[in-house]
Amino acid sequence: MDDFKEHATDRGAQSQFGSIIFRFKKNKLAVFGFFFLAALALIVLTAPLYLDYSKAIRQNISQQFQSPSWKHPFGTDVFGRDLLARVIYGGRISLFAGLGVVLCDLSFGMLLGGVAGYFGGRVDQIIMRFTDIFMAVPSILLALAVVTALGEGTFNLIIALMIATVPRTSRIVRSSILTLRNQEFIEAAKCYGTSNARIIIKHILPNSIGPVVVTATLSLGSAILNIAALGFLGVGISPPTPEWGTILADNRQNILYYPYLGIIPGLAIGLSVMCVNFIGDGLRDALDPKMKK
Amino acid sequence: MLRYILKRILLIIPVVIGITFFIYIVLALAPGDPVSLMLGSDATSEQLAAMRHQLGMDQNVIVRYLLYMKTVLSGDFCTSWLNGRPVFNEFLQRIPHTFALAVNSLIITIVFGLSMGIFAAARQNTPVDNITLVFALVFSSIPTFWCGLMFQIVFALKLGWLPSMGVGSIRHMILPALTLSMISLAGQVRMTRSSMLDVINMDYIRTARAKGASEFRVIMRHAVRNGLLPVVTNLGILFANAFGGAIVTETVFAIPGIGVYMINAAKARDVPIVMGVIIFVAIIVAVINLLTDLIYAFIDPRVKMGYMS
Repeated sequence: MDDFKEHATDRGAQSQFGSIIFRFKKNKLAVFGFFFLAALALIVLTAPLYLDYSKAIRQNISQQFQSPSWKHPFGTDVFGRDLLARVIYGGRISLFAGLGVVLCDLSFGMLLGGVAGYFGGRVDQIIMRFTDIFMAVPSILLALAVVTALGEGTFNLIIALMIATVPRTSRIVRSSILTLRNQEFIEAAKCYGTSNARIIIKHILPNSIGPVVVTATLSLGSAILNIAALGFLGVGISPPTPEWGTILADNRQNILYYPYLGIIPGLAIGLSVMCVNFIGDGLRDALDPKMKK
Repeated sequence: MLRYILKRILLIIPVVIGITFFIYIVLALAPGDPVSLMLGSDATSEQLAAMRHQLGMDQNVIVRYLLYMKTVLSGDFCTSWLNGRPVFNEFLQRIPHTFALAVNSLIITIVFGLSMGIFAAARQNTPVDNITLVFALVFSSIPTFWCGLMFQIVFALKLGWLPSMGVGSIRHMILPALTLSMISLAGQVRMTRSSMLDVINMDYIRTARAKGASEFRVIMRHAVRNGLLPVVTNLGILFANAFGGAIVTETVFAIPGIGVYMINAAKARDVPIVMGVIIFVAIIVAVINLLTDLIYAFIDPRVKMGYMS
């Protein structure tokens, strides 16, 4: 057993990816976060296989305000809808729209930030002035204005939040590329006559991926929070579609008398964001070159 | 220095034009007709057309935007489409509530964030440090509105210590400000800790220790002074975050600030209000950012020299 452990340590030290995994595994909270979130994603993703969607939206007033029991593990809300079903189906929107925001944010952020950072000069100036514009007002305010204009729906919600977050991501990508651009190995590659595209793909991207991955993970957390906040404000997702923020908004009047209606959806948001943040934190430590020695 | 300030103020103009243009276009191209929303479903097509003409809606978007900006530049922020009240007056009435909320929450964030961050840094890699960091992470995962709702239930409705909503006294401000400060607290703790750690390993700290200065004096007098410089630059971002978060917090605590104003206007497609709020907030955020940069230059002689030359 001890032999095996030593072997694992050795291999961890050899390959870049292996050593990242090795360091990540040492962070217990991050590993916990990863498995918890994976389990949650699985439950939510496979929901149609074991849970009828109508349970989450069909109203049944005679069943209203049932406290948690075997039949309704999370109880029922004011319309007699099963809260467990609503939380599970709500998670499909909250988690996967969050993921959608991060993916869009990341692709556009890397493209814009990458172009700005690598080419510099006028292109950089123009892109940075644009990010200035979109960072002029707090992101939630911008997202609110855009999503109410575009109208309700998951897709519009993703677009609105993407517009609000891309500027910051582009800046982070840009600054991490700027520090790379002037390094000697890039100069060496240029001397060999390597094309711009190849330098970007082979040399810049792999080296700038660390901070970007960390940013992406942490921005998944804030995307989930923002979606829930917009839902709570009553924009983005229209009722009766369940979404964690709207579930809380729906039950707001009754939380005092039926605390489970408030506590459970809040915990769903809080726990998933917490896991995402634990993972992001673990990745930050695992990817930080300063920690390597 | 003066030239620098002037340049920064001039740079605010294109940013405000850019963001207002974007929002205006998005609002104009959005599906749905704000005019029929205003007049209700039983309005005749003549009434709709007349209203459209009155609002200038029968013109090209760009022309409309230019006309709107011309009116704004003459000092008139137009009136609400829905209730006809002047946007500027309403804004002036509401902004003190939002401002007070943002500033109070900022004070809480800074006081708690700094002390926790310094405390964690001074005990780097001990259980205290780790627990502080985990706590910060957990706090940053809680949705603001949920936190606000729970505060209301526990401190206002169950314990009856504080009023649950509305404005009026200092006591009304405590729960909303605490709620709002939760957004930035975690970030503040981490930032303070890491910038403190950057200086704590410097030579002059070792010198101070070697001189026999007490640990408290080393931290408070030598490390904090330099370690907190980057924290000052972050103030502008913190303030912008507080302003954004105020939207949600105001909704939870029924505070008649600009957040609630903006949400209701956005839902009703009341373009003059949405545009007005965006313009004001953009200017406020830009000015705060400029001020923090100036404060930074003022307290860090190295940066000050850079501006002078």
